[in-house]
Amino acid sequence: MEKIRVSFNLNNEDVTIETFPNKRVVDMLREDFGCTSVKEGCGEGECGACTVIRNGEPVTSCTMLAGQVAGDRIVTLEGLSKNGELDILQKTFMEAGAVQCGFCTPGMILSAKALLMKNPHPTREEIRRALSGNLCRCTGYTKIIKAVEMAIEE
Amino acid sequence: MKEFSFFSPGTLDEALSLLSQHKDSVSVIAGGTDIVLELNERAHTAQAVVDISKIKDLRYVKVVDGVVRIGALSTFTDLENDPYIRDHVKSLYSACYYVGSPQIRNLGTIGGNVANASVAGDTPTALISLDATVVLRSAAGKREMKITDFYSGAGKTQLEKDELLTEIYFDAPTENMATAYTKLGKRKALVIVVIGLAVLLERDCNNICSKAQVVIGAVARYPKRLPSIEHYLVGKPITKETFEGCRDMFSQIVYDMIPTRASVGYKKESVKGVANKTFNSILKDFSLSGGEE
Ligand SMILES: Cc1cc2nc3c(=O)[nH]c(=O)nc-3n(C[C@H](O)[C@H](O)[C@H](O)COP(=O)(O)OP(=O)(O)OC[C@H]3O[C@@H](n4cnc5c(N)ncnc54)[C@H](O)[C@@H]3O)c2cc1C
Ligand code: FES
Ligand code: FES
Repeated sequence: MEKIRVSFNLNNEDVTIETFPNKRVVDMLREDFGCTSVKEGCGEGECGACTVIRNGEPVTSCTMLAGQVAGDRIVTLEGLSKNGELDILQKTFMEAGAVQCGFCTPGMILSAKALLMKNPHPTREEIRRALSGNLCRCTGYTKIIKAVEMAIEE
Repeated sequence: MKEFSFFSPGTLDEALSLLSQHKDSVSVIAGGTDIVLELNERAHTAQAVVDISKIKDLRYVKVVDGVVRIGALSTFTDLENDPYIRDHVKSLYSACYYVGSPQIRNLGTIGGNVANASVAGDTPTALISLDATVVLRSAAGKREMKITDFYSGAGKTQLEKDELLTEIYFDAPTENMATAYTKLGKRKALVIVVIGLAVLLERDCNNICSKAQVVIGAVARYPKRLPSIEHYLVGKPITKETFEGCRDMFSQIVYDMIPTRASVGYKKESVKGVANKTFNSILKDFSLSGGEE
């Protein structure tokens, strides 16, 4: 199969890669770029574990083909911490006890981040709706919502 | 995933010429929310995949001369955030607002939703109630047809392999019209429609119903207009009482559509609540008493 060339911006860096067109974005990010924070849960768009921010909006990377991110700006959890300093959401998630097994956490934080980038003071209802595509089997969501609210206050 | 060659045209003309070159074995991908799973799991055999998601010219909502025109690549999020759709086409707005999750709304396109012809699609039900027309283009030319004619039954459409759905359009609802869509979903992980009900009503200056377009989705194999309800409504005053008078008809219709299906008991009862909610929204839009808060 012929490889395709895909250029995009990953975590504030312009990148170009030759990859197989039948790779999904989740596989490309994990295998070719080592972004292992991007998790594959269901592989069907249902759980949100593979969420990345694309041009400012959260999307499921398991429902996209590698070639579809050409020219886009993609942010993964790796791109949130700056010079070793954690993002505010990463801190409040830990402080609020919103992380148990941690599998859902990267996707959850990215959905929350995308929300706060657009709307710095969301209501609780807006937070719930923004996180409704991210499933957590451990925490029961209350602490996750709390963590986002703590980040808003800071 | 099977092997294929991948093309990402930036313009409609390029896309159409790629489709005609590869029409023997080609798949179109827009948002990918339906088809990537298919490519990944099922033994999908297209040798060429044409990604149309970069064709910027197919992403718009505009109102020209009383006609609402929507580019096929508009996402659910685009439509939900469009002030005109939100304020004047509530049925389509609600159909988009309640789709799956933010991630799916950011990727999924109205063109993909219509072309996919899934039983559980939300926007087709709303679009049929708006009596929408679809525009199909190929390198050879352009065809237009009512969305009801586009669906040839049971998950099939009139789309040829070398064609793209480029636009969906319908008459802009007038001041004397109200529209509504209610989705009843069952939660597995994300909500999939169990019943979708879309309504467009028009009233005259005496508050008498002069036009009714009522469509039920996700019950039969494809969304269906309900002529008996439409008949019942036309000529009657638009009031809570009138609407209450047809609740049992909805139950009977659902029963007649799927008498042997296991879900019939549940759907037959719940459709009354769905009808209630839909009509309450219409009353509210007409600023009549009995509407929801
Ligand atoms: C987790 C999840 C939840 C979902 N929830 C809902 C929901 O609540 N309601 C709902 O209605 N749907 C739902 N869907 C289904 C899906 O998101 C929609 O059907 C979406 O609109 C498909 O659009 P797309 O752009 O992603 O299509 P794609 O997956 O890219 O394409 C779908 C099909 O349409 C064809 N196609 C796409 N665009 C065109 C075009 N312009 N011309 C010709 N052919 C075209 C493709 O070839 C393909 O066969 C859900 C999906 C997932 C994964
Ligand atoms: S792995 Fe992508 S949504 Fe579950
Ligand atoms: S912390 Fe385990 S799934 Fe959310």
